[in-house]
Amino acid sequence: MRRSILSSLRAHLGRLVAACLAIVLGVGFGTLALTAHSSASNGVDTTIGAQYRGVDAAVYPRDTQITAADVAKLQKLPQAASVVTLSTAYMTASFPDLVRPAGLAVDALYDTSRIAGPGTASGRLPTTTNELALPAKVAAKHGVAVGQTLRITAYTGKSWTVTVVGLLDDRNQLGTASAVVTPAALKTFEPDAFVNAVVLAAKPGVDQQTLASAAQAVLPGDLQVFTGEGWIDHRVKDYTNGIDVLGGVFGMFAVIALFVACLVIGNTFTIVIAQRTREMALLRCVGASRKQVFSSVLGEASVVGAVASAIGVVFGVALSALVLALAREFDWGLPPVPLHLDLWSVFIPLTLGTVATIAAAVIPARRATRVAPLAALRPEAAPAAASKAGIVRLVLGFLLLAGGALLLVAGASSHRVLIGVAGGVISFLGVLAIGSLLVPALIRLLGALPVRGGGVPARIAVANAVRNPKRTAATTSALLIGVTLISLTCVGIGSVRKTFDVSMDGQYPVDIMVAAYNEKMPAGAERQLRDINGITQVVPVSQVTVQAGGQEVPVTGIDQAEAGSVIHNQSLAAQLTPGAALLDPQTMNMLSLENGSPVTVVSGGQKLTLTAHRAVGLDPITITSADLRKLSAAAPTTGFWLASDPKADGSDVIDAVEQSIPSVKELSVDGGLPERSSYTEVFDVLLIIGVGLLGVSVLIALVGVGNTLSLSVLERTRENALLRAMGLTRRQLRGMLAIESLLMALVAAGLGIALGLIYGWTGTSALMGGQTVDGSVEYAVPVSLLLIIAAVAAVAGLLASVLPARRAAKVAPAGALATE
Amino acid sequence: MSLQTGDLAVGRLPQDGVPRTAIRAHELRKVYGQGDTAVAALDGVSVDFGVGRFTAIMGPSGSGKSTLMHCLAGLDTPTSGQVLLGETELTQLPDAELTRIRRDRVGFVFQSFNLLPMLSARDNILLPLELGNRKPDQQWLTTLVDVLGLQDRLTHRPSELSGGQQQRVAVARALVGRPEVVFADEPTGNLDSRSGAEVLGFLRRSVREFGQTVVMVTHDPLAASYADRVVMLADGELAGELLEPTPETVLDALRQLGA
Repeated sequence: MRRSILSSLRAHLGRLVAACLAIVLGVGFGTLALTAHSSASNGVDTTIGAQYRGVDAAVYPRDTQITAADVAKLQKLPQAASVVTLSTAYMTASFPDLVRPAGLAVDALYDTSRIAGPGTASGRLPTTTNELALPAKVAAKHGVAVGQTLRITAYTGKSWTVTVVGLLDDRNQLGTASAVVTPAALKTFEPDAFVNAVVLAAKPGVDQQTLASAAQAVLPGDLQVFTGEGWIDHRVKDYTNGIDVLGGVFGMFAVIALFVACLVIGNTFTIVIAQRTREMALLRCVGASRKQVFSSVLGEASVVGAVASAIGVVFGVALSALVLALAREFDWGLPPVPLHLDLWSVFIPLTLGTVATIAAAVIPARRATRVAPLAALRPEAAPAAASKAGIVRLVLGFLLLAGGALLLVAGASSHRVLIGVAGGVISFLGVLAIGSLLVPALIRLLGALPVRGGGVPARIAVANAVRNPKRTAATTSALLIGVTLISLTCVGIGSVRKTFDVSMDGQYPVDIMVAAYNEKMPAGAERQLRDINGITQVVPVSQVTVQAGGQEVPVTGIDQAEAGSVIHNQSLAAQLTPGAALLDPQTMNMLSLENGSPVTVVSGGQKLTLTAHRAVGLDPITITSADLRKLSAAAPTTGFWLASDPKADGSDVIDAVEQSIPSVKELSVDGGLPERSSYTEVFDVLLIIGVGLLGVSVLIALVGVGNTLSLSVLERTRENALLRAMGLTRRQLRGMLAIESLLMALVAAGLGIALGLIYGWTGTSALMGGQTVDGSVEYAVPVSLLLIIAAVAAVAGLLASVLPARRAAKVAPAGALATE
Repeated sequence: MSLQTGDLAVGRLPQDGVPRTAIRAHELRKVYGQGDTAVAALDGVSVDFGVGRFTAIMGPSGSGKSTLMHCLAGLDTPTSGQVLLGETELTQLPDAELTRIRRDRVGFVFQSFNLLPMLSARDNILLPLELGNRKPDQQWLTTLVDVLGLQDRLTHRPSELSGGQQQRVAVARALVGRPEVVFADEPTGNLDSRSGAEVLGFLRRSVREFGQTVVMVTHDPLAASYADRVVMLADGELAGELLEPTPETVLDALRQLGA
């Protein structure tokens, strides 16, 4: 049989190329995920290992602090060759490019004879108390060069001028590195700087465990002592948790891609075997047993699976190397990581790809065994008869659909994500199971349009598309999975984001609140803020400190007419009337007030009684500026409330606001926009990653659509020849296949988007319902995104038909009719 | 059964009594393969087919009769020589033009696989007209369907029709657009003798009563005897012709070819 497998593979290689492509993409993607993950973990291991080279034991404070007495005890340990205290002072530095100082963490230098320490990229390490070395990336960001001076300020307000004498090599640093100064300097800056950890190096002949035990013996029990290796493991875990989660997500997407590839492969084998009915029958005629036919098909599948998976692994590794090289080249803010290949990241995708291919071929192989030997003797190979969907399968499908839908509703209403996910998966399996009924029905429905306008070719295209319901369903299913997941991602993220927005508007009714501490705003401040790109409204506010209920409380006054233009929550803005005071919940509690109770505020000789209203997200007490003038006639402008353009980049706007009004020493920038822009970025990144990863499965599915079409074209060679003889032009023939492909793509897209909306909404309900204050969830319909998905599916469907259509159009009518 | 069809056939019959040519082949050559393996399926064939005549092309297997028909019908392009359909030279036409001619000016009946499996009998009959966006002549369609006895079969799919019925649908399709020439390639090859005789009878009636021009390829002397004229082909060359053939004269002529 082996010779027969190999020769049949050779003969039919062309038909299997597209299936191979699907495997290559799926396996390549899996390899990329695993390799990227192992490279990243390995990179973290290496980096942290290098950072703590020479550390044999480490003392780490959990809930307590490491005191000077503890350090003294450790220094007396006979087993320790070197004892290093790692402490950090948190200062601010006035960088030349910023109008106000920015935070800077400063570490002390230590004895690096045994334990690795910071190295310089240029210049040297500081030797006197007025010298400092900056991390190279920080220096580059703020445009600081060796030799320049910086003014650094401690939290006490004391400040020093130091000279930058060197730049630290932080290329391999995870996160932002600290600047370094001499230990004496650190002592002056912050006499009791926080001790992060004490690390020890052992004397020769002392192992890590001995040193750690000795250290633990002299220390109080609540200080934890790690061995050097344990310490590195501990630090690595801090970083790799995130990588593992990301790796898991990647892995999930890879499994989805592989599943889609399986559908494509199974479909390809089914069609190829249907076309080779006579060949199979001939094998049976000359004496091959059912078992031999079965294993010959599986044998073919294993060769195809193994070869394609191997190509996929090579492709995935090459892609990983490319991505890592690009990351190094373009500095994506990631530490540079060398490519690290472990056995697993090669072996797992290779095995999975091969096994998946074989598994996908089992059903077609079983079908091949059912071919009767007599089929070889019939004059015409019976073309694959239109298959009728199995009743059992349909019933099962409807049951799954109903059960899944119930679980979905239950998950959404009880806010249990796991139940919702289970419901989603089960109902989706139901949709796939009834696909052979549902998809042709939808194609007929959608096909009514081109049939009315497009004449015969369109009508034949629709008829062809629904001719073999199982094949059509399998082809569209592959695409359906990708489109559903992408729409689900878009709808889900859109809804979660909208829910966040609404809840943010409640918590932070004002985009940006700018305030100066203990000083008034200069005359040009409002103009400066207005000139910032992305700021749409600026309303000045005045703050004075008043007495209320025996406490000192700040009261903010804002013009009643203008308040509505910066407060998102219009009902809140409407409450701000003369005689009303909006109090935040903390102030309400502090003054023991109820909603609607009177509150009396006193400033200087003035006294005013107002009605208290609860308001979240404004200042402690907010009143109209008219009322404020009654308390303090000439209260100066101390801040501004701003509204921003929702389309502008939030972090850019905030940066610009923070760098404005340079004459003000300390400017606080607060409000909803900083919060919103931080999560907006997260959502955008999630959306791009999710859609990008799922795009791979859509790509595989489209390969499948093209594959099914080209195999159908092969099967319909005579039909197409007849049509050509009857006067169908090449162009009409190509158009016919394009319509067929377009119908499948559009039905998959439409159904996928509909399912994506349902799953996205119920998912948001399950995920967010318990999280918001009042349990309400916003449902987004990202119309433009969904239209783009449909358009991409349509264009891709048309593209998938190009090659099969060209091949079909090439066939000369006479030649094909003559094959008898 | 007699039909009032005189006006339907106007323009097809030679009005001045002089037989006119519907389609003409001049020095047709068709060579397959190249160099040493080249085989000439047609080796300089020149032949005319008269308007309103039923002509059979005969010859042993490999004589080039199917190739000749394919070249005449614009299904295949000869290596050299000309084909004139009416005033139109076919051999130099691009594919799109040839397609249009097949659609609008000729009709086909093949040996098997004549019909598209997913279309009903009626849709199959109207296919060439609809491809050309032409409206069917309802009266003519009714006449054809009646004559061919397909009234009750129009909504059936090909798989629900017998072989003879399928071939009659194919004949209806070939005739419905009133093409200049109908080409039939072994139209009875897959039929039992009774159904075969029916189909041949219809083809002859279309010539006699509607003035249709029919060119038929066959290797069956009995089928050939339905024609007005038989053109013999051997080894890609013309090998004689017979007028008013009978099965016996055709058999004799074939024997002489073999000798």
